[in-house]
Amino acid sequence: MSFDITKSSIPKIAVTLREKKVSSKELTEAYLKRIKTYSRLNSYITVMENEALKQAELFDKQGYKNSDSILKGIPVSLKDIFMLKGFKTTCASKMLSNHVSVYDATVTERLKNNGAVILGKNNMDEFAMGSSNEHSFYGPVLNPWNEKMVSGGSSGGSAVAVSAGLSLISYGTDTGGSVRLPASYTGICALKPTYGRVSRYGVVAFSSSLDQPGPMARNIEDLAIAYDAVAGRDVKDSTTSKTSFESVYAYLEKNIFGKQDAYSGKCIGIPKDLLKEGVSPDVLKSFEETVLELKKAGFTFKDIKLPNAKYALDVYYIINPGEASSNLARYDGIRYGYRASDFDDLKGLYKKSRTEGFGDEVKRRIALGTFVLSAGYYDAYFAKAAKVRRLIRLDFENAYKECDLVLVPTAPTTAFKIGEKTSDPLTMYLSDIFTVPVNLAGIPSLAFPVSVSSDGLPVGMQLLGKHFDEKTLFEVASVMQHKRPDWFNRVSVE
Amino acid sequence: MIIDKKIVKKILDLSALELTDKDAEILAVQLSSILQHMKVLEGVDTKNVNPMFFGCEEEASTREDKVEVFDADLIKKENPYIEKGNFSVPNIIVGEE
Repeated sequence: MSFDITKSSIPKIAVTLREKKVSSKELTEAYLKRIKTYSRLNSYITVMENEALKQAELFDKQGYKNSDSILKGIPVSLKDIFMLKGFKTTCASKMLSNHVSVYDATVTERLKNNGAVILGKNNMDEFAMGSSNEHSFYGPVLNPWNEKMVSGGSSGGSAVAVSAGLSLISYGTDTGGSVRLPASYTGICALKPTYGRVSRYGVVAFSSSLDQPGPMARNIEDLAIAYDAVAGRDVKDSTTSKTSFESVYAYLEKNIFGKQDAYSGKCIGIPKDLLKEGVSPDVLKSFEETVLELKKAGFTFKDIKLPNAKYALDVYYIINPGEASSNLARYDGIRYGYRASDFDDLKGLYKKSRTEGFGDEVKRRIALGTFVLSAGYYDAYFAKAAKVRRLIRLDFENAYKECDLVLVPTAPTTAFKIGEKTSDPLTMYLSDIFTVPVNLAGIPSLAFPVSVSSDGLPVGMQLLGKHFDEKTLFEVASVMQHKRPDWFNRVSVE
Repeated sequence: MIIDKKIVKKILDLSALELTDKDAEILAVQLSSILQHMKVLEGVDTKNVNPMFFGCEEEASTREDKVEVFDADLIKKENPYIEKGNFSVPNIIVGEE
């Protein structure tokens, strides 16, 4: 093969495919080879070698026309939370370790319709519950920048696949930061779309008012293409928005790419109060560097207040377990999922199957969620949290009267050591401090990599936007990429 | 809020989960610590605030109610407890074998 897959992007590969200088089969083989070489990173649960090669050969035989989707023949991967007909969807749980999907998720279906070659299903935190990808039935995902460190979660396998060049793009889900945190820890880009922009049909349900699928990539072009392929109304998910959707990539190509030097005029809000405590010096330094770069590019900055954002973690860890305990009640060992073999009666079957099938973090959240929803505690916890959630959303609506978007770090620290926080869930939950307000408010956020810390680990920032205004986030991020190309397109391993 | 043994037992029963006494004790300590952190919400004035229960605030629309048939062979592939087209369950009528 004539070029290095780790140094390319979707638009470049699409051209090369059309010029017949490379085939999808060659690309797929190259990725499969890298997946084998770096299997110790544990980023895939299922590798679909035969199916991927079969698809690639079929597309090569059909050929590539300019009218075809730009994704045709491009190797991608999916978090193991998306249904893929005929293949296992385990959600990294013993509970679903034998579960074969009987239908495609809408995200999967749209990727297939675009001609993407699906390489496999990525490791993740069990049922997407976690910030470090240590809570997987299949073991932790290692951070390719330093294998003693966590990859971030819950879409850690997807992030590592993209960061290590084991897939060109990947799709994860973001309930409280689950595409953005691992993107930050592994030095890549990720988008958490506005709630309702991408269909949740066929995504294993965790916290239904917060879950949102999102793409992950090494550069802004690939991220925009990945987003375009799956965004928009889906009749199978009544919570997808009727707000019209137009291609972000086409817009950027027409109006932004090549013209970044002339782009300015946006006002970026900084919630200084949020940055006062718990943020590491490395992250603060990178934040200031990012602000400086954006100022040089012509952006203006304004101090803003998000007075209720400090309650976001408390609100999140009430609403999220509450919804999870309800959603996971379906796993009873009867129709699908793990069934225990040793039980006395029907209730014993439920209890044994759930106790043996779920991991510790899942059990903890089910217990917490059951408590906050139970009689006598509902008003004090769940109903109260839902009201404070409204205040957090209103904070953002007020802030956007004064600025066009908001800049904050993605995580308060860089990746931490594997095992460092597993015995103390509260400390682990604090990793989500900058990501959960976004999910509670339902707004979009684009995470992008910036400098590398003094200990050689990536640092990430995120741009927060108005509901359904992903376009502005992509515009600003593409200016950032233009000004600091050294921050993007990095591959963590040779 | 302190979660004691009695509350943990009730929560686990409602959740259809079983834990050893030692694990239940650890869970009680962890839940107490998490709920202690949440105490801060008590001080937030939420009088006349409309709770936000949903992520999407648009009016939900419905779709045609039609039967979609899934591949029965795929369902059987996963579940060994299907007998004569039905899911097998333990006996639920007391006194009947």
